[in-house]
Amino acid sequence: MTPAPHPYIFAQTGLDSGALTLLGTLVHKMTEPGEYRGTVSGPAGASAVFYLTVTKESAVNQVNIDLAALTAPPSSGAADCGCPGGGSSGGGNVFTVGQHGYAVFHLSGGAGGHAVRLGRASAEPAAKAFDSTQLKDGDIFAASLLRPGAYKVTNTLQKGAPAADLTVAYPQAGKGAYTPPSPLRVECTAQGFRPSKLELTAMQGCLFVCAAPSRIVVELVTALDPPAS
Amino acid sequence: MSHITVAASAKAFEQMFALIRDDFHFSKTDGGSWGPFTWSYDVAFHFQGGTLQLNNDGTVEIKHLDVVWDALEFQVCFELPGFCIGGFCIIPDPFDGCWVSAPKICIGGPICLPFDLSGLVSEVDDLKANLLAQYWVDPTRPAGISDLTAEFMAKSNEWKVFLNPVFVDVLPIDVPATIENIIQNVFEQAIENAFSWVPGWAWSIIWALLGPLLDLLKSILGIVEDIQNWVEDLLNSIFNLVALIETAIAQDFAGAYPLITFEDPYPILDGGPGHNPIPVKIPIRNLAATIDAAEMVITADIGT
Repeated sequence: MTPAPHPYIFAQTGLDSGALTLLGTLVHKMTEPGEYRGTVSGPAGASAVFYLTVTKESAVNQVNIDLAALTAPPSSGAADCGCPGGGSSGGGNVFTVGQHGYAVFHLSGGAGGHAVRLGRASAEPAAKAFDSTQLKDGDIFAASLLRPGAYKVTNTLQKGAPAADLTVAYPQAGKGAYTPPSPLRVECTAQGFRPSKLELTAMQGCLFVCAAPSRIVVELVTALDPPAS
Repeated sequence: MSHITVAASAKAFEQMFALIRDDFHFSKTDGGSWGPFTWSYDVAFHFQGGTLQLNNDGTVEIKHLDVVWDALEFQVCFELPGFCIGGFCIIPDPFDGCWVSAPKICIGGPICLPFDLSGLVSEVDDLKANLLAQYWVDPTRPAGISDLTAEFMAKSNEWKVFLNPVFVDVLPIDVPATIENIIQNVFEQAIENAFSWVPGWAWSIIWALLGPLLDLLKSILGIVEDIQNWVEDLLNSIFNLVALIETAIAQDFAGAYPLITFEDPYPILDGGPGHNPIPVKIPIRNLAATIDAAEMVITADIGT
């Protein structure tokens, strides 16, 4: 008896908000009530559709939508991707959130590479309310970085904007269990990132808040060896 | 007055006891669950040493009998909560707490810690017993056969004299203070085995997340005392090894390991072609065994 392996969690050192992996999360605020239809595209042509109801009556302020579970094959999904649900996000492809609540897109397993688009369900082709390959209007890309080292962060939709330098340090040994510091908040504007020099400790979250159209790509430049014990 | 009286001096009795003590071996495998963990053990022990004294009240007293654990292997299994990635707050609640948080990926699962304390020595502090004479019929002896046929089949009836414990005091098993280091190492190894797919660079992060391993273990298993006491409680109270020793002594000394055995009928002359074709044997009846400070005395009648 051993815990199930999670092979991708330490293997994926880079992140891309437009091709979501285990360590990335997208947050979109649902300001208008109504029925929404979402499409998910995964690697190797995997795709899925889901429906999101945004209603004034609901007090739910956060709905987690697991893209890996949505695109996993129904029969063998859990075994293949390591997703808890396998084929649906806990109970199918229909979700509800309150008006002004947040849709939180994430992956619970698998290699990832998913993109998600969301639009009004009633009028197809709908204007996109949300597109993970083009974040904007306060959308948030929350990244967890595990591998200590030096990274380069770029916004591929703002070609002229400078990249940010990001470093991830090993946690210092302490008397108790290590708790990662609170996440670092970074503004993504047409002029670049604010702040532009980002210092994190392993597993600390980094929140890229997108004021301008953004696709955030985080690439490992130099990995850092662990400290001698 | 009895027809036959046999006596063994205190010295001879001591030797008889030494024979059953050295012959005695016990082993058991068991398992169960206790709160947040399951356990299993595989134990075996024998006795060694001890001081013996015959008493005028018809008892023999053995003190400081060592229990040598030839095997004291056990395993404790539980759910390791592991560590979680994500879960941090993305949008704080302006009033209190968190409005939107990142989903968590938690990596944990079942884990087993194997321990081997074989070679440990504990003690039966005091064992008091009287003597018990029992008539034994081989259960595999065919019904209705003669004693002579039974002799040829090596299935003769027997009188057996046992130590019959009337009081047993087994001391709780003590474990060395180094058990903390042992547990720390075993736990560390078990985690490394469980997460063997984790790359080398990530281990310093994982150890930092898990924190001090003994604290983590205490928290998972709900241990409020120190680790050494907990292991002793595990062995003595949860595995109930003290009761196991007591039961083994009570049952096996009084039923499986006789001090002395007399075949019935008792052979007094072997059979041989030169003189008598079949052995000469006399039936033994009313065998009894008593003891005083000087000797053990066995009396019996010759029956028909």
